[in-house]
Amino acid sequence: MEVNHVSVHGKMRRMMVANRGEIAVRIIRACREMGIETVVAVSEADRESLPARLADRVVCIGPPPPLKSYLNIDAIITAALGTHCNGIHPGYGFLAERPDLPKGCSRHGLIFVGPSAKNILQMGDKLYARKMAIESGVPVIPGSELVRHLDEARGAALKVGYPVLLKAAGGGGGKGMKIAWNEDELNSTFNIASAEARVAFGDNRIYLEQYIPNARHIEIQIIGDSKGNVVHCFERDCSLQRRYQKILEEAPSTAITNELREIIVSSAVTIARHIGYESVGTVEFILNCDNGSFFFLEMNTRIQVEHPVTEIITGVDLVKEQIRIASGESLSIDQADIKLKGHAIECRINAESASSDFMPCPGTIKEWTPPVEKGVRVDSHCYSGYVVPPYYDSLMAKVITEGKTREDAIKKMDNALKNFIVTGVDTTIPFHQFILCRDEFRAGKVNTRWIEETIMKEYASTADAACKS
Amino acid sequence: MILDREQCIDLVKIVSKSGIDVFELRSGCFELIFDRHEIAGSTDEDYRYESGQFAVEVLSPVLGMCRITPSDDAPPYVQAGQAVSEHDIICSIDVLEKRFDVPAGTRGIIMKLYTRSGELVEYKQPLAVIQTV
Repeated sequence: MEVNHVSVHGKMRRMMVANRGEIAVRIIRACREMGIETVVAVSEADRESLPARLADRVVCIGPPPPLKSYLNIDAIITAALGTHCNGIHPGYGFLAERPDLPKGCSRHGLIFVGPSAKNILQMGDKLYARKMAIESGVPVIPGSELVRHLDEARGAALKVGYPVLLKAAGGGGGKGMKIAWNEDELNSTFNIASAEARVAFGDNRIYLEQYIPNARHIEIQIIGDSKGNVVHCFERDCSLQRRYQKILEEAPSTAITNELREIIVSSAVTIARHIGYESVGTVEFILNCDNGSFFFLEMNTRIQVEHPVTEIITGVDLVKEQIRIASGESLSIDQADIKLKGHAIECRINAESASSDFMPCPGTIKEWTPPVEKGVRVDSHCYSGYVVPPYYDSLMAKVITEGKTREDAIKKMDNALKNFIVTGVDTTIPFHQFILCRDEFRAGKVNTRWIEETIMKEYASTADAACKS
Repeated sequence: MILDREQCIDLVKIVSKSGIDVFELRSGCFELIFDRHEIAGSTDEDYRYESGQFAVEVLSPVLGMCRITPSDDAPPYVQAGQAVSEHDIICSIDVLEKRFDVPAGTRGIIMKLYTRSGELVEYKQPLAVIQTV
């Protein structure tokens, strides 16, 4: 994989925020604290958004559909140049993992706040990422090379052993992913997985991995700088997922011992060093709860939605660190400075109706009163009167609580959600309250299938019986 | 709300004849603003607004860098006071290496040009006002 684009470094003066929603607010906050001016690029639907109100300047880059606005690289680079920005922060989603953006930034003398195009390409190709993990001596889930058609898939599945996971080579995040418990299911899902992969990533290549039914999703936050320094900020446990989308995250994980933590974090750092990774990033692992074995899953080359839980337990401001590194500075922290302290939980509050199969509920927020208690952080772009547009994801807020212990963090989350008043649109707050009061969650006895196989069924039958105690 | 171009023009004609000074219609992403003061308040350089007619704003179809001349040493595409037809180019917008020519979109007289070469124009930013004939 040969990509020759020299990243631009230099002191950040004015930042183009090429994103929307809560992450745009988060980036503006970090920039303000660092004395960096901000220009936010908005679609026509976001002219009245909180990032548009907070930024030093706003430019409308296009109509609401993402392809014509937030995914329009030429418009974003032109907007950055036309407003005299010298850097672009892509946030997460949209253009964050498109190598064309750092390439375009490099061509026009702009600093890209993220890894190199080469790193993005390397880790975006999930088979190449597996190869990098293998070269680093990190275990990967037993799997196949590319399978070009159903016959090849059948042969590969016999070697790997059922159940198998069909995965898209062109990208991660659960898109195009299907479980086949036997050959009949493989026959019926292969073409669907391939078609979904083509729609999601423009690439229909599929490979197989052994499916681990009783698993936890453990991910390690790493930071690398241009001098070759790499540190980790411990793990996040993101096992509570619905259709491969994370719902609730926490750090540290209840599923790993200190010894295992040491092994997993050093595996993540080894991979990041091996590819010369430069920025914040996340190395994801699957932990087999039946035998304690762990495997490399993929690497995300961006700031992640759930980064605040890591910020809470380590005290490291990941967005500021990311901006400093993009400016060419060395890491401001050594590994020895990064201590794991307390426990943090994050609940993603979406404008969705959990009792109606998580149907998005865009509309006008009549009242928005977030919790204000000590130990509660709310990252959001919403306010009373804000219209949640129908064009984008439905994330309204991330509520993050900090406790001395896990029990303390859960208790604070319980209170925070009780005190969070949102009217006008449906939210997932009751669903989170339902999870929080479950004994399995409180005991840390969950896996990646728990939400879908246990909670969804129970919630559907007791939709309005969310914990009120 | 969805109104096609002809319906917009009909609506503006009705408002124009009614004697209403300011008319605003907003619904979701749709916006139609008719303001007689905007035209009456034009600077001396602008072409004089002829009462009884109505004017339309030409909006930028994309975000980009505006050019009011086809090349650095060429004369402007159009000037205030000039008669234009629907397909006459009034300016162009550069988005990195791509160039988008912006047609007048209507037959009329250029009343005002809002932008200069080298200026960043946003999506849907007004570029010119044309008094239709």
